[in-house]
Amino acid sequence: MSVETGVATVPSWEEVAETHGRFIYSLAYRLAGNHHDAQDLVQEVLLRVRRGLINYKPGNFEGWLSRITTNAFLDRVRKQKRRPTQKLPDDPDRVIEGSPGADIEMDAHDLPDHLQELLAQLQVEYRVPVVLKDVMGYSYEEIATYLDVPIGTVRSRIHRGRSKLRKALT
Amino acid sequence: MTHNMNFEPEEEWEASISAMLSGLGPVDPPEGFMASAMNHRPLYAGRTTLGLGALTACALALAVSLGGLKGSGVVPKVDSLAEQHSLVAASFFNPFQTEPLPEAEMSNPDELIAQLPQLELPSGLEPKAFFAGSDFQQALFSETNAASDAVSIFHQPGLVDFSMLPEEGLMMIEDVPAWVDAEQSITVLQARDEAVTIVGLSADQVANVVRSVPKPTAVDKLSEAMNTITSHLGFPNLK
Repeated sequence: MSVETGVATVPSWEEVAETHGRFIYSLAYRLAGNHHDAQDLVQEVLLRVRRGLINYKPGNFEGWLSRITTNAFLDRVRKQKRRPTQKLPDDPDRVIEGSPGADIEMDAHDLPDHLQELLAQLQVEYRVPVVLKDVMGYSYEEIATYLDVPIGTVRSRIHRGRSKLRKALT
Repeated sequence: MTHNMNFEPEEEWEASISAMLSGLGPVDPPEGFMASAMNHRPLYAGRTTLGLGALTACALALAVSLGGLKGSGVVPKVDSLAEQHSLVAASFFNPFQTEPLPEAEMSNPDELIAQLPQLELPSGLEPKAFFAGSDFQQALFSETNAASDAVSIFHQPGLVDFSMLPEEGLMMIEDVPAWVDAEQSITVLQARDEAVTIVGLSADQVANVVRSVPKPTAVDKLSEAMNTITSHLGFPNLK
């Protein structure tokens, strides 16, 4: 989905929304876990893109968009934590609840939806790097830059995130 | 869906999970959503129920109550301030990707912040830098040290002449007169005797900030009106 365009020009805001809207929405949906929150997130991302385009230096444009989307998502999470609408789990190592039909062989056709559900249940600190690495295909180095954390932290969180998904799937 | 071929050594189960996740395809936004998002109305539109008549009356009342002859107060150049915000935020947080900062950095930020009206910004936002422009002072805040998340508060002495700002942005937030461009996340407010322009805060955040905005005092209004009159007559400014 994410392809280096190699285009050296900076697109207009309208072009970003039209050409990269699906890319932004996909990442927003995978991070947020549902369409309602994804739509709110995309709105916020488009505002930030509009503000940020003036200073954008041509480069990996979708990487830039991913970084903005991830930051916007993390900001929303932080705000929700400051004003929680429901009790948040305290234990960062809590195990994701197993799926109701985990002992039943899943129909391959259902797998993406089921995976998405489990992904959405994954805690944010694991979900974000896992989405960026496995769904979006970014490197550990890129993710470390986007999240401003050491690469070792990225590796361990991705490993633990995958481990939690594995437990939930079996 | 793969962005690059940066394979890392992984256990078999881990590679299997990774492969399943990489099979999650792109997600299409609901039909019409992107067009709607591009042309969305100001975020406050659904939350502010002022009618056109009330808006007009409000603008008129503002012009009178703030002692403003049309064109006599401060009219923040909101587009320029938004650009200034983007420029400074990008330069400050991404110094290797952008042009050097303009030569206007304040030498004593502590002194400056003490002079500014005290606004209750969202928790986590911390002052990062202060700049003085030709007719404004800018305080840059951030929680995450990312340019895209930065917030700027611009201070300009004087009373806002709301009548000179585009009418569609005029509104009341928490009973405080304001001008809002939600697309660019710009809000203009009056805080005591200063025009305050906030760039980078969401609608919910602005509503919280507004509750802490100090209202202009009668002395402020009188002083501004006197300055306006004397400047029109050619006398030196009383301030």
